[in-house]
Amino acid sequence: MGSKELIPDDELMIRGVQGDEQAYRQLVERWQTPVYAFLVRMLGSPEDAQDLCQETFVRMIRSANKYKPSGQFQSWLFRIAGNQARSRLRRRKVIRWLSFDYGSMDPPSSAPDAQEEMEREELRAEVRESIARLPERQREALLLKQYQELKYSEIAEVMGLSVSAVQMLLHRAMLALRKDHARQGGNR
Amino acid sequence: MNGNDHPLGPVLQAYSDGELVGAEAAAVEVHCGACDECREVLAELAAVQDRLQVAAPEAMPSSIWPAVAAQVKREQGQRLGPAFAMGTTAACAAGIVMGLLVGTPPTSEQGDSDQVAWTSSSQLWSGSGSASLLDVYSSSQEQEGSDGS
Repeated sequence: MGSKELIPDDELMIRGVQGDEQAYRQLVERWQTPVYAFLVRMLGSPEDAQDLCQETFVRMIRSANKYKPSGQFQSWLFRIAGNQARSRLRRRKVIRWLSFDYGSMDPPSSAPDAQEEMEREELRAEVRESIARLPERQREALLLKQYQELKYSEIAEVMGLSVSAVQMLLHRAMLALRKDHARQGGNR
Repeated sequence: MNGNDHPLGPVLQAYSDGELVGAEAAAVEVHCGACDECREVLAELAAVQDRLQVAAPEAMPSSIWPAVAAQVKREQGQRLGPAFAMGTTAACAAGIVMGLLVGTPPTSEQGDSDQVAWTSSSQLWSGSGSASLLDVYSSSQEQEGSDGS
């Protein structure tokens, strides 16, 4: 096997259950960014997202011997993450979407493309706010579709819903986003 | 769907998401070929999807593995307490596993600074070679396997 050949997730889970720590490590490092990105958008807080990201992988390891390798690892993992996020949202009830702490954001500069970058950042903020305003279930379905590129059937599995329910959630989410898009000018 | 019946919103959404195939997809395409209104909806959906891509997913600030490994190890240590308290059988089983832990030579991988002592302890998680302790652990957990949380 070449060094760049990816070991399938299921194989890593099997190795992990057999006691191979490095297998779990590979899974965590492979999936931490997608899981974190999903949680940031669900929770609106990088700190909470990092906290729950860690908890998601601890639970992944804790439940590893119950996982049935069938090529559905991504759905299974995001089900854990989604449950964590919903549980956290239920507890705090308040969504702090507008208080993102993007430490990497630089102050406005005087460079020629500063204006362009500022506009891009405004657009990003508008998109984040639009997503944040969606009801929780619509938001979760949208994030799984748009950023994790899951199929409807996989989203249904993650969220414990029927495919038609997922289809309706996504339709409503996109309807709301289209309205926002039109309200904000519709030309960006 | 004939030329006058617009597909329902969720159907257009599913088409836009690439979820429709065969006859369903063909029916939408035939309709949209002759319907400005539905073409406009598809164009709006595409525009919103493009817009969503602008807000690219955030990257993790750093690797989360050391923290995950440390928490697993910590929880595993906490779980050993009740196992000892449950009686002779569990205590003996735990003793055997602890003996294995002590007796396990370090591997080259354990030299990494962010490694945890895992070689035998992972068997507590997995159940291989220490089913009784895993049972103790599992029975104290909420039902996580079925719903993944």
